[in-house]
Amino acid sequence: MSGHAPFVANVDPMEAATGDAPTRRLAVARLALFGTTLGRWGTGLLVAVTLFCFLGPVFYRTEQVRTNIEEVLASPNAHHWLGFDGNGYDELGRLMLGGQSALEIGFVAALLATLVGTLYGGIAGYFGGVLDSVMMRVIDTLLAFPSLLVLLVLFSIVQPNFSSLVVVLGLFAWLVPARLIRGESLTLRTREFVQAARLQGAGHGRIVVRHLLPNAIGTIVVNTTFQVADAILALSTLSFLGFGVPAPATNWGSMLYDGVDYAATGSWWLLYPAGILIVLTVVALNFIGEAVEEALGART
Amino acid sequence: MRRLALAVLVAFLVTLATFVLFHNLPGGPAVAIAGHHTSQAQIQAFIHENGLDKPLLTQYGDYLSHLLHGNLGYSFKRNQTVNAILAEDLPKSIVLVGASTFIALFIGVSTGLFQALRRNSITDHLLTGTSFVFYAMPDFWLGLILIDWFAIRLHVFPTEAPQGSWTEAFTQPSGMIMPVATLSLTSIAVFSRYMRSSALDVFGQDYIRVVRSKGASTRRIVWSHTLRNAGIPIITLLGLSLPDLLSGAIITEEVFNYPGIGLETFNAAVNRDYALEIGITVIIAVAVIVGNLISDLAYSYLDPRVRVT
Repeated sequence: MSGHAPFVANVDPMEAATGDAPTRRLAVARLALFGTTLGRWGTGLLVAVTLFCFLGPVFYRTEQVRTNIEEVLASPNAHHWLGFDGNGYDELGRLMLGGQSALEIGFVAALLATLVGTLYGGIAGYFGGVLDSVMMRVIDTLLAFPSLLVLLVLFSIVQPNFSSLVVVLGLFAWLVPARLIRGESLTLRTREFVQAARLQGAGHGRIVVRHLLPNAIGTIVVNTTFQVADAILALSTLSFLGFGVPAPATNWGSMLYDGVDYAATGSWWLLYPAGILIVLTVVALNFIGEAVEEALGART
Repeated sequence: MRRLALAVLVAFLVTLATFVLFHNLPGGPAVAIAGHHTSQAQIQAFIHENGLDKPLLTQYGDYLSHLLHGNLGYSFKRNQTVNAILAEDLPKSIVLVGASTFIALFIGVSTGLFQALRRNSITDHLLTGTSFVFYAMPDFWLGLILIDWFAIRLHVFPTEAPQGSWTEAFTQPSGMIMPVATLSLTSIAVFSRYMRSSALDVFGQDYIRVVRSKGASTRRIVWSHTLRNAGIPIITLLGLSLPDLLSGAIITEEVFNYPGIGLETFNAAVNRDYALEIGITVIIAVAVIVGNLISDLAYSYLDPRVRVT
């Protein structure tokens, strides 16, 4: 930890190391998010992007259902700060709307992936043996497929919309958390408190849910953060390939898909802002994940 | 031997997964291949002709035996065998992915090592920040920006990759620079961040302190002691990042209209050419399994402490 000393401020490391479990976790979270340079930048950026998307439309009102044919591809001006897109939507207002669905789909897909992966990995690691081997071979098999390839195959069959995107993105991201949690639960199940719980007559389900998973919460939280970042990137990529949410809904990837042809003729506002927002959001989430990971490592 | 058996098992499961997927397409495989506007009688004839009315297990046996004989299926949309299409596209993608991986690996390892040597300096933080940004950047957007600047505004490189056979990648290198840059820039961070922390671990080891106290120069420590110990695990990382690189190739090829297997995948998805999609999926998945196997074996060869069983 000595190498990172300059980054730690405001939070007493002893506070993070002592106290009962909930207080300790809260202290570690506070240390990670506000006490490190990475955490501060990540939190700040993520809050800024979220406010922009969800609170922005309150202050910057635009028409995002009906198109304005007269203003198609109009350049940025004093009233429309980022001009109009090829359909006649205000671009800045559209970035806010697109960000809402990108963040929503990203978060829900990541939560779904974490839930499925955690339960799957928890069960495999807890029972071990043949069941574990079979469950892990299933993961090996699915990991052999490049995710984008499978997503393309699936979306040539299923119509992309909010729920199908959430389900498919989520169901393709649970493999990594499943592996991580399986590793944790393999070591946790040999610990005394698990044996004590078993001696008291707790069932398998109770042990996995009440004793194994809460102790793997650090790994779960860190991984969820990275999952959100990955889901937002995957969503943008799919949408850029034309498999995004149907209009008039949109997301940053779909906006780039719509704008790419005009960008070549000088409409820079259709190419740069949406991409920059994707990068900022994903960087922010990765910063937060790294910061929490580092804080958890410092605790042990 | 155990590792090899496992790889074969996983490859077998891959074929099972693709078979199940193909047979659960809306309307079944016959409608998927022949199209939705075909009459019921034609569908029945097609089903019988292609053995789709046999028991599922027999069909899977046929499918597997075709695969083992190297027959990946027939694309009715393209009226070509999947093998012929792949034979044309695969070399182009191998050139793209190979060159990009090599460059990403070289830059990633040297950057990570450099950062470890100058840890916590301004340069180190700047490089960490830069690698985070590239890591967060969608491949397609990086490709679009490169096209916007270097092709449209500055006219340095063509907007498209070479369109002919794979040898054109070498005879018209100017068309390859932007695709290779796109794919490698987004992968550098994976290697540089790993190399940085791995080299820092090695620098903290007792044997490095011993070597240093014997008067070895930094150069000698890096070349003789750090690169080997910190660098070997990169081989595993390389195997693991293979699926991501291939996903990246799909995007890069689409953005630069490079007619490799990635662009073929994209077009197959848009045209709902299921036979081609499944054929590509099987071949790519098997390539990933073989890649991982090779990286595991290479790892145990280079680091005899790790025994692959």
